[in-house]
Amino acid sequence: MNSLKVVLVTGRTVEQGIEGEAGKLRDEYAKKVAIVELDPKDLELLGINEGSPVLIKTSFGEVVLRAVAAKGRHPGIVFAPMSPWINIVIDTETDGSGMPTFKGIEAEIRPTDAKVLSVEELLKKHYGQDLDFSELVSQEISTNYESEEEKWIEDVVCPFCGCLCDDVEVLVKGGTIVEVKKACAIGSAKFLGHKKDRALYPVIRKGGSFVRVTLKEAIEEAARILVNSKYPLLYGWSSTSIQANALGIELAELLGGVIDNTTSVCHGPTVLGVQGVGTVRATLGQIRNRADLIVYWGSNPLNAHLRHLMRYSALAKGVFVPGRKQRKVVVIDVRETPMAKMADLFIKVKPGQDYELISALRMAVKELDIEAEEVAGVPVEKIYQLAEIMRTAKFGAVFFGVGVTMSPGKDETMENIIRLVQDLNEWTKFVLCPMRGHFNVTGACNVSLWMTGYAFGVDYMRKFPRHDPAIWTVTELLSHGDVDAALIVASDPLAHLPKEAAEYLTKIPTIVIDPRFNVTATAAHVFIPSSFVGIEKEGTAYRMDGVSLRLKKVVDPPEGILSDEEILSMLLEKVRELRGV
Amino acid sequence: MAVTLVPKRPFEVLVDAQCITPDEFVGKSLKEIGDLEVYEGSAVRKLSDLFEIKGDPSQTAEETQITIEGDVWKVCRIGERMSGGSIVIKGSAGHYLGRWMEGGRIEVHGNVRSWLGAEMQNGTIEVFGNAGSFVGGRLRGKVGKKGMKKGLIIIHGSVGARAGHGMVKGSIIVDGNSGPFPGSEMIGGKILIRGDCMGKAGANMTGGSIIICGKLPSVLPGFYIDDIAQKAKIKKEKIEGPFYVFVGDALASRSCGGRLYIHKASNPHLKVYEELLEEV
Amino acid sequence: MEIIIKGGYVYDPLNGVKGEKLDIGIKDGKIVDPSKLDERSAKVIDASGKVVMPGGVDLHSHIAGAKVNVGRLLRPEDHYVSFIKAITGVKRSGSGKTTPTVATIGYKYARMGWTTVIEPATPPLKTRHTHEELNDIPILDKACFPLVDSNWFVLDYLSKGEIEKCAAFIAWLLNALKGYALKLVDPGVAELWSLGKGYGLDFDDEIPSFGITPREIVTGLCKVNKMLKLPHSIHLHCNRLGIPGNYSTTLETMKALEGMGDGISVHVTHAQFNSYKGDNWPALRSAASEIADYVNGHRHVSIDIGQIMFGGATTMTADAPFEFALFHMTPIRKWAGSEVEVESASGIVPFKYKKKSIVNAVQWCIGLELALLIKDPWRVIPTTDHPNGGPFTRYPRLISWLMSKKAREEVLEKINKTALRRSVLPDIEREYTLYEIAISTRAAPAKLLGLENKKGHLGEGADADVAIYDLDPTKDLTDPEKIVKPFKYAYCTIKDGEIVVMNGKIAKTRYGRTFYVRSQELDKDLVEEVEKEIKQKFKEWYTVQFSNYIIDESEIRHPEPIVVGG
Repeated sequence: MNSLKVVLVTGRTVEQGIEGEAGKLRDEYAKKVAIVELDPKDLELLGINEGSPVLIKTSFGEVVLRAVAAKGRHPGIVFAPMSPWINIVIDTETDGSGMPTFKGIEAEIRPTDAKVLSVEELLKKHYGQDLDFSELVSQEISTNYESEEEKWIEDVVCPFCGCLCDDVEVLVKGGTIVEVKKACAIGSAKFLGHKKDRALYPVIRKGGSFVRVTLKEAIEEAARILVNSKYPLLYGWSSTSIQANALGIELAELLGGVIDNTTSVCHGPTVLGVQGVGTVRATLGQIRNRADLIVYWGSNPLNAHLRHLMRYSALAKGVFVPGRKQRKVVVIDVRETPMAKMADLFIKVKPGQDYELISALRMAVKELDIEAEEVAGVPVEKIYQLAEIMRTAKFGAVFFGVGVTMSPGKDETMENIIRLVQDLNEWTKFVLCPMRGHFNVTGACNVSLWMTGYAFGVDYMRKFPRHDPAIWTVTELLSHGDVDAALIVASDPLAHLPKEAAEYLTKIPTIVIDPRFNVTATAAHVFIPSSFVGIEKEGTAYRMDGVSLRLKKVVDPPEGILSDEEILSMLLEKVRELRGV
Repeated sequence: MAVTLVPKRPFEVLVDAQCITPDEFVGKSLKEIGDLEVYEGSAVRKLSDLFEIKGDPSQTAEETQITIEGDVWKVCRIGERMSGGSIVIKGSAGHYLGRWMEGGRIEVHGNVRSWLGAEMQNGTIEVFGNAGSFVGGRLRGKVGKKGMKKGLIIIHGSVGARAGHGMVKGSIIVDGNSGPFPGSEMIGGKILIRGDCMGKAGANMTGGSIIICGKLPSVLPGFYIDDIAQKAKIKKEKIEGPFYVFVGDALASRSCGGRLYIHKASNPHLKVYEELLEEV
Repeated sequence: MEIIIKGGYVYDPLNGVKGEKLDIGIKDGKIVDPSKLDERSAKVIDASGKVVMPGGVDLHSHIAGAKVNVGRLLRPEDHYVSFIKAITGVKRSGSGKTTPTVATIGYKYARMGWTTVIEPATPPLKTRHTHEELNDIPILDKACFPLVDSNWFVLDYLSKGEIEKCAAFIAWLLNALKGYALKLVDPGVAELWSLGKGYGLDFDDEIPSFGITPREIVTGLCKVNKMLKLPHSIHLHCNRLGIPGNYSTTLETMKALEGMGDGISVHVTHAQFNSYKGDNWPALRSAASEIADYVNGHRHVSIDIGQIMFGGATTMTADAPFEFALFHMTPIRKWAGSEVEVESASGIVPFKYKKKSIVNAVQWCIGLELALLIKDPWRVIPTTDHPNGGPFTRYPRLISWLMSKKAREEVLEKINKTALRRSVLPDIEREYTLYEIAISTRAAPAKLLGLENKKGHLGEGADADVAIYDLDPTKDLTDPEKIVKPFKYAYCTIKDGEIVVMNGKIAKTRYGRTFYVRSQELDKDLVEEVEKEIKQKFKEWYTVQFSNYIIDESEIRHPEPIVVGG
């Protein structure tokens, strides 16, 4: 047949992580992410070979991607890495939660002769951006270190994901990181690539091109934009330190704007679930030491939290649970992932019906009858079986990821998972842990909570903090055009938000502060390069379980490049000056 | 008796206008009404900066009719806490319209955004277009009987997710379709959806009823088939069934005090439940 | 800046000043002899007809750290209606009533004339978080108490009888965490909670994994505390908190610490929650008389009361099994549980204290009974165990109940009448004098903390932390209503010689110190040996590296070490 009705799931992959960290404006990134994984059977049905272009269409848009054969079997489900390409077809409806539906979307897929757009073509076609940025993404810092002294630095904290591994060792020679031990592939890539493809000077958009300016001029222009705006959005914050976050909050309060962090498109629903019912947590060591049942729900650590299994969960050496043999591993997901293959029990849940499955599990745990024979595609006997496995564990832990937060159900699903774990506590020890993505998104939530009372999506219009994810989150504000300027720090929303939200960033004056010239910067009015926290700047970050660690500075930043903290301090000062306070 | 507000220019950013209610306008001259404070983003403005204000205000809230002639899609908190009178909006309206309303009437000839009539105490709201999420909803984090207490909300178009969340009493009538999770944590009251429901109806409800005339893809596991009803009723309107009647949500309370009325003809896939009825 | 506070009625118990009209001088952030200052160049504050006291010291209030922050997350509704607006250049914004944000905490304490507040329970592994929050609380001086009772190192050493090694570990821990004193919460319960057990753990029950009893943990840590010469005694939340009949455990616990040396050996915190008679909730009676009798007869114990206030509260403690039990007892079905590897656990459950509830009414009586029956105001501190019993912002109301029988009677009229028969409060005539209030809210807590050289007094050399209340002691003390408002909105609060509150409003934002203790009492070789053992076990037990566990002074905004021993 020529076209197939499928369910689209978007998410992380290892390559997307590695190439994304290295820079999203490079061809290597496009090669790795402008793809869609299909079950081999579906490829056959479409009559195409791997590598052919396909058109994927939803009720919100269509885009051409390169078809790739999936490693696991999941006929009827297609998987595309999160990217600016797939976001063309994603809707901005958040159901009042702030979270768009990135997974479980009804789509149609068919072969096409059109080609996959390059990132420049995509930016031009869909976002009307065509300024030349080639120089800004390819600046290389000299790495002449052969004759230099070398030094191993231990106990380095990796600034990539929520695992926040702190046993990394880096070898520094002449101000360059030349070797990394213990970090995973993505973490190593971040450390080793710290000097590649950097932007070395600030630019301002002037008359159809990016013009190099001094830091002072860039700060002035940025401050001017913010002071002249009536309602700016300050967004990002999860890939930088607590210290920088605190300054961001101060700035938002001063300007009377909105400050939101990437939680709103990641584990925002989980946070909202806690607001409703609470939570049941344990630090990763408690889980490693005691848990004899590990459940991964909508989470594929082999894609985005590579050392999770061996450091904290299924494969780790715990005080009371020595290894994999003493643990039972259950994976619940919409498709068979490599993680699913490692599990003792894999449960395939129908996309968008995690909520129902959780409810049925809770019914089984509470020994209530379920009238249906099958729930969410899972036979009821299997559900009772799983409930029994959970109830009889000595200590269970459920790790859940964006597989559930981004699917239909969102915050209600997360509340339900938390309730499930609370219900299980009537029988045994059971805890949960969200697989937080960015290395300091937990920190961004924490500092926001202690300063404003809310974890994300905070409005300061009236000079005191207010929160409502249906209103004051990045997707809602941008897709409805509710703000008139944006300051983006340590994040790349133009690459990660659905098109209708992302494109609004091209219509308002946008300021970007980031170590690399990223996708959002291509639409910016002001871009200020900053240093990497955890490599070139010390600071605090919070692990997915709330444990905070001090990130180290292991090398100096490139000449003239300041940290987010320093840039934000300067920006605050300038804004105060312009406001006369 | 009537005051008319005409937007002076298109709104660029969110506006916080909790002063646009009959109660705030009562006993004030047009100039005083114009001096009322609104927030255009972080900028503190006067109402007259944003709206042309005409008409003659009255002495009581009940007697006050406010007409807004134009689009106020970005203007939030209109009608908040009003105790009487009416507001007619000839355009679309922003978030929190009629929140904590205690009486009177709001009419919208357009669409509305989220939290329409949130935690309403009484009154009537009629929207001719579509509504966003949390129509008549209880605010996040609150528990118990803090939701919509009384009143009537009519949406002629469709509604988003979580309509009637935490509802205690009152009625919500939707002529069109509904997003997911209508009646979540409902304690009492009635919701009617004449069109289709995206799913997950009545999650955690402990009382009240939800009537769905169109399609519901599946019934949540915490619900049990109880009966087949020939009709369903809401606010004196009798709706022809037959309806499958489910009780639940057992996960919220084993007494299963909430009811779902799902139209039989629109939902042939629910026929399997009839067998369970025969068993009883 | 130089300040002279003129002609106020000064209450300075540590220096024996009982309401005399005195001038107070301030220079370079310290109290000085006012006669040495020049009235023409100094700022003169006219305090005539007003009360002048040292800034308040609160030694038990949950203001910072992981569970406090989860409390905020759990209760967005607590933030919707209670908030502070920012005034650029003067104050930051904030929100929350029972789960206030950092700015709210600093400003609302300062507005009441309090200037030093202690976070009484921080899990070691998450103490960096606690410090980061403490850093951001404006105005106040602070400190934090690490939880130690269920720590594997402690249990390991104590169960083996290796008390010196335990002391070395504790000394290392306090310095590594920049902590101030030792906190014990339902000692040993967190270890049992790892197995889902622990509710009702009694003083002599054995904790199987280590073969140790709470008695052994408490007496062991008390000994360690004395060995290290720590400035504050062990700070103890007794076993069986919140369980009817628990007063016997409280008595057993206090008895176990007799004869441990001079001075205070144990501070029993929020004792109200541990003073219950009766076999079950409906039969709840006050055991405050028994507890008070014991405290009156034994000088090694100090307590703080943990008064409940009718209305909303957010309970949050490291007593995880108790919180799980409470989750089942309240209609508000929210529970946030947490566990920290090797160390501790916690739970948070929102709660509402109701006048019509027998239990809550008796609880209300107990707190006040303890404060009124214990004769020595130097050993009984009024607190609400914020936010467990109620928010700290209710302290002025609590003070009015201590000072006025009439004020107590007004409440007794409205509460469940059965409670009146379960407690002796209706018969108590005693009314605190303003001097006694000054003792129990300033001088005494400073002394119990071992900070009485800098805090809680207005003698020369003290930190210039001063509160001026618009209260005329010659007139206003008979009407309880006249007590509440002046304490709620201090006329003036001065911190380190800077005016931070004027006329009940925040005048300035500045940031205070964080105290921590460094004990140099132990032998260096022992310390080195123990550190090696700690490093070894770390690899096996924890998921963080030993070096990353340690908090550096540079991470604290204004660290101030208190060095003891050596």
